[in-house]
Amino acid sequence: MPLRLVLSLVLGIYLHQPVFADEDLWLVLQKTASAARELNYQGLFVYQNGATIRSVQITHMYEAGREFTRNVVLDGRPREVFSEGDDIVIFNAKNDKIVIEKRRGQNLFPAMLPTQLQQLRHSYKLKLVGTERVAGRMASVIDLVPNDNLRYQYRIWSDTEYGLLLKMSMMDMQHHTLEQIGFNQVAMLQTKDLDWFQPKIDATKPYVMDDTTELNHIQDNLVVPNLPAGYRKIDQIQLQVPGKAPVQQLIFSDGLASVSLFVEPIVKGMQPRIGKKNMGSTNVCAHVLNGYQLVVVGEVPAQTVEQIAQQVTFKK
Amino acid sequence: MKQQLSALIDGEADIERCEHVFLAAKSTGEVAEAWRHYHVIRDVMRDELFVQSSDMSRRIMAAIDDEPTVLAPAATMVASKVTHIRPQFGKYTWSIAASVAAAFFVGLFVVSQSGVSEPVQIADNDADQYVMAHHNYAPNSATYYIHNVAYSAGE
Repeated sequence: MPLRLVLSLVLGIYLHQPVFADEDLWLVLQKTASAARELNYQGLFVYQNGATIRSVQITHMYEAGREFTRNVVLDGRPREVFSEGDDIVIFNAKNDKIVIEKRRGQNLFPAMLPTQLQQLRHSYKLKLVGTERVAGRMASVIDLVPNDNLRYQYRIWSDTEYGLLLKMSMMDMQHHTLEQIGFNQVAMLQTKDLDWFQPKIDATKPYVMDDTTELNHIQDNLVVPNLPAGYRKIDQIQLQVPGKAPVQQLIFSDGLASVSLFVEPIVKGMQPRIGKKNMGSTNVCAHVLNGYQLVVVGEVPAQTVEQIAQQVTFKK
Repeated sequence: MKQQLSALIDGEADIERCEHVFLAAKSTGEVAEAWRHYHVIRDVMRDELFVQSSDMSRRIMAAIDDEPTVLAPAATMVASKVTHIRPQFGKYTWSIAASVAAAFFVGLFVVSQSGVSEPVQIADNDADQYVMAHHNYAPNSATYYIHNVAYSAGE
């Protein structure tokens, strides 16, 4: 064996294994956040939550500062998700028609980590678990351990060479996996051709634009003064529900976990709801305040949704 | 772009050569209008109209006015064929009258406001609609790939 190879092997082991200081791990995380957005790749990933499993084919390209993604959901009903930057358009087959929905920017896999990690630093500590092989690639395994019990723990698998997020899981306090998403296979794309960025059009079906998702960004007198530590309000939208008063949706996030607060005036004939519900990784808390129905929903522990529900006040 | 849309909707377009049709759908202005317009026109021609709102009906009438020779014969049939489809979101997801399914929960009681009904425990059906809206608009949703219960329930 040539000496150089031996040397690089030894160095490789030395560099990859034991000496990950805290800051190095944050650098790995930073690289992971950027890689998902800046690399060109194509692959197949599987999302798993409880009994639900979905396979998704993804093609992602970063070209001249613009990001293009096409996700084709392979299980269940046909569904194609296109995104260009923050604009997301979904082609959803429903019965005999295709419904086109528009969405705001979301951190879709593998771009799950925010590019600004500052907020995560307040709520999570990083811990190197080791290296593992995922989808034929070597990955550094890193835990994001929460500083409190207001959020779940996350584990990420980051490609040791490219930094691409290969897999991510969310675990409860007892380290049971609640939700998992990861590549089965993935390959870097060499082409710059964007011909794949097209929905599969079925000319025999009517295409219908979903008008109910028009989003109005609004500000009002609604405040949540003491948000759970590390969370902040990132958006507030108004959902138009035909025949009903508009529903306010406030969205809070700690950078990874997100929680929605719904506020809706209680009108005559409407049945107010209260109480808590757990649906796998999702917790729900309903509450009534000053004639308003409040509902808090999030992939967070029960106490986080409760705390938010109890903190809502209306400014005078 | 408008021509491409027209061709696409008529099933005549060479998909490979279309510029990103996606742009049509994501945009809010003229192109989005055109997209809907063409669909409506095609649907009217095929006598299989799906209409979402009264605004849409007005647009159909406008479309008919624009092209009287082509559309007038079909237009007379339209009125009786119009299917008013209430948007999914309103119909299925926010139905407060939804039947109460067996639910597992622990509860807390809140004193009710005067003039409205006594609050009752939140049930599966009530929670689903909010969970779906949460997944739709919150960032970082792996859950995005699931077809929500509420969605399929209404079909």
